[in-house]
Amino acid sequence: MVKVIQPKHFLVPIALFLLALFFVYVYYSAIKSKENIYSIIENDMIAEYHELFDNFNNYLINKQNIHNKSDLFLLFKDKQNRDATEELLSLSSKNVKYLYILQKDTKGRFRFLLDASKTDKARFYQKFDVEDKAYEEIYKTKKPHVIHQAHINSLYLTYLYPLAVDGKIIGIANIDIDTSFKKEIAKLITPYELLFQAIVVFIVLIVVLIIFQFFYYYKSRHKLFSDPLTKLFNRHYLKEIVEYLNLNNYAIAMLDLDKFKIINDVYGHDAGDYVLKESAKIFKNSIRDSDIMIRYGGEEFLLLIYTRHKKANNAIDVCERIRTNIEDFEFVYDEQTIDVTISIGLNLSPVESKTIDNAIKVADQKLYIAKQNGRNMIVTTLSHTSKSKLIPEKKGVDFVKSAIFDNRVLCFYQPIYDPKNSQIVKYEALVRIKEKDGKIVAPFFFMPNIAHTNIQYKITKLIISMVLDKFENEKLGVSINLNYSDFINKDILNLIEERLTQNKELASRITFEILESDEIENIELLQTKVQKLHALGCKISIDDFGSGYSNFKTVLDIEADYLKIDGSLVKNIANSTKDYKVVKNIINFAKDANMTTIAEFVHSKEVYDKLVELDVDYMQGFFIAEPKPDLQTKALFDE
Amino acid sequence: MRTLLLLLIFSLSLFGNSLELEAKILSFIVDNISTNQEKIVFSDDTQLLKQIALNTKVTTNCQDASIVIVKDKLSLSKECLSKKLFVLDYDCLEKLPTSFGAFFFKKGRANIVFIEPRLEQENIHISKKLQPYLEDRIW
Repeated sequence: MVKVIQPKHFLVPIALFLLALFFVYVYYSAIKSKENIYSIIENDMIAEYHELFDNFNNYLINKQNIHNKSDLFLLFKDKQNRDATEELLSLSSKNVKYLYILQKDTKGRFRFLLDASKTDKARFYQKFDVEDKAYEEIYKTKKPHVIHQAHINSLYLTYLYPLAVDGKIIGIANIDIDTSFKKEIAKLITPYELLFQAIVVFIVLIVVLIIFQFFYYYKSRHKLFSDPLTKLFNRHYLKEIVEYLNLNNYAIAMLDLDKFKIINDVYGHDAGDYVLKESAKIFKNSIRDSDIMIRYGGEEFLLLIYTRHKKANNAIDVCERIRTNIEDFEFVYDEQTIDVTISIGLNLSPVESKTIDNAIKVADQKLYIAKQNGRNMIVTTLSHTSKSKLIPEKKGVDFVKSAIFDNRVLCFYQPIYDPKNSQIVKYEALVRIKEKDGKIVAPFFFMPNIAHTNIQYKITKLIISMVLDKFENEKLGVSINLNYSDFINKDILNLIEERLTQNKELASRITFEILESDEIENIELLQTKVQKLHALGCKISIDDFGSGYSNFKTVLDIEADYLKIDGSLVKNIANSTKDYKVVKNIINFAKDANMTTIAEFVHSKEVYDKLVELDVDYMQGFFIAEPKPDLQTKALFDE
Repeated sequence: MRTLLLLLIFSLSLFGNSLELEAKILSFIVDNISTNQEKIVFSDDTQLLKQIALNTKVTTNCQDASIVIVKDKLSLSKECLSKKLFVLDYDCLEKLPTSFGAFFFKKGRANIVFIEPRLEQENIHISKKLQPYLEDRIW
């Protein structure tokens, strides 16, 4: 189902087809011309014989004084008369094979009165069995008849002329014309005919060949442009159609199956493939013919929704149909029901993004927001959450690459404060990129865009090296943020081991923070990595606890040393009883689990006091100290 | 009746070759004549005889035949010529005074002739289908 057709590709076969039609027409005309030539010559011959027999009839009446059939019989009964008349008539055209006069006897049988033929001569009054009804007809119509001989060997036509006196038929003058003239004409025309035939066959062959090639080309195109698993279009197809795509006519949606990695891990890759295939079927049934669905990546799909002359609501309707159809469908694989939902980021005005790439990015950002806000939803605006207001300014892979190359990657350090002893106990290292104009860019603007890419691993390694270098000769500790994929990355772990195996003292001051909101695909693998870091003497912290989906058991399984409470819970603690209770319970849980608690996002005195009341171990936030390139030794309020 | 034979000739000329056509017409003729003997056909034209054999009882020995279809009278023995003769040329009717009929092509058209006095002389009867081809003499 190739939706965007490139018209120029079809011009060649159409032109050839028309050319073939033209030659068929010319060939047909040539055949018709041949028939016309036969017809003209035939008419000329008939006219000639007609005139001959007209004269002969007059001769019989005027010169031979014939008044009836008996007179004619008697005239030709005489051999001398016969010979003389035969000689008279035999002067006719060379195409004449037989020339004879017949007469009907009393029993209605035809008999030869005279035979001027040079071969196969008949005797006088010999019976002649004729099959054609024209012989009888001529007695009724009294007009000449032409019989086209299809079944008598070497005869082309027979011309019957009624010899009549005073309107009464006294005999039939008969001329059999052979096929020699036809053969001569055919001989002349055949080379041209063959030429036309050869040209037509050649053109037809070329057309067939081109049609075959086009068929093969489109089959290959179909293979090239379709995803073998889902049978949807793939990214190559998007590249192919991008130059013909009018962004005015489309809305762009990015779709992502929620927690697909977990489906793969829990149910196996075959189940994952099943979910993808079934989802693709649902997509096909949910979209319209004018929409284009593309498998963009693993479980990520791009939908171009045709919106020309239609309201934007139509695009939302299509997305909602997909979302609900996926949600309602019962995915059952190997007798196990799999819950599948989908998140959709919908860019209703891709034309504003100017390029398709930018339009897709906007849809992707909206998808990101959908994921951040609980999944199984459609997000159409970037202001869906407070965070998303900043999203349009996000930076991509190239931005980070260039920053690494230009040494513009920095580390800021935010103090972590112990309220009981009123002192800074450690720091959290926070990555920053300095733009060329000196402006500092926070990780939120670039980290999501480089997730799971080599650039992410590169920048993580760079930060680890920078932090370890800085803290090698310091007394206090530092936390470094790693996400799940960093944790399981061999290069990163090798770097940590390389730097810390021989420096236990430094290792004891290093904490690695893993985001609780990260999708931890393999808890056992993570545990192994955590054990290795523990063995080095490092500590582990769960970051942003309360924001993600992990249960308490998962947190316990990781065997973390610190539990950092998510800022979204902490920031409202002074105003929200609900958040207060949640934070209180998290602190109690951490204490029971022998974990040190850290509250982040401490932005006011009120929040600080509430946290003191809850007996949180450490705090971090702008009320205490902002992140800075240097290591601050005092909290702001202590100063 | 005549129409039937004409139809046969016409359809055979459409779909068959000329030897086959000749053989079928001759078989038709043999079927539609009756003599006081069993009808066993011989012909000096062996190819034609093979074709006739498909529909009619034939013999390759002239002595065993009751009807002889003559293509060339010179190739036949006296004994053979004393049988009931059917010729394949109109002129032959004259050359062989005992021949009772002929089948031949005149100007590309199939023609059949039976000479009535000779039929009587040979004690041969023809069916109604062949009546239209009866002639009282050779012209």
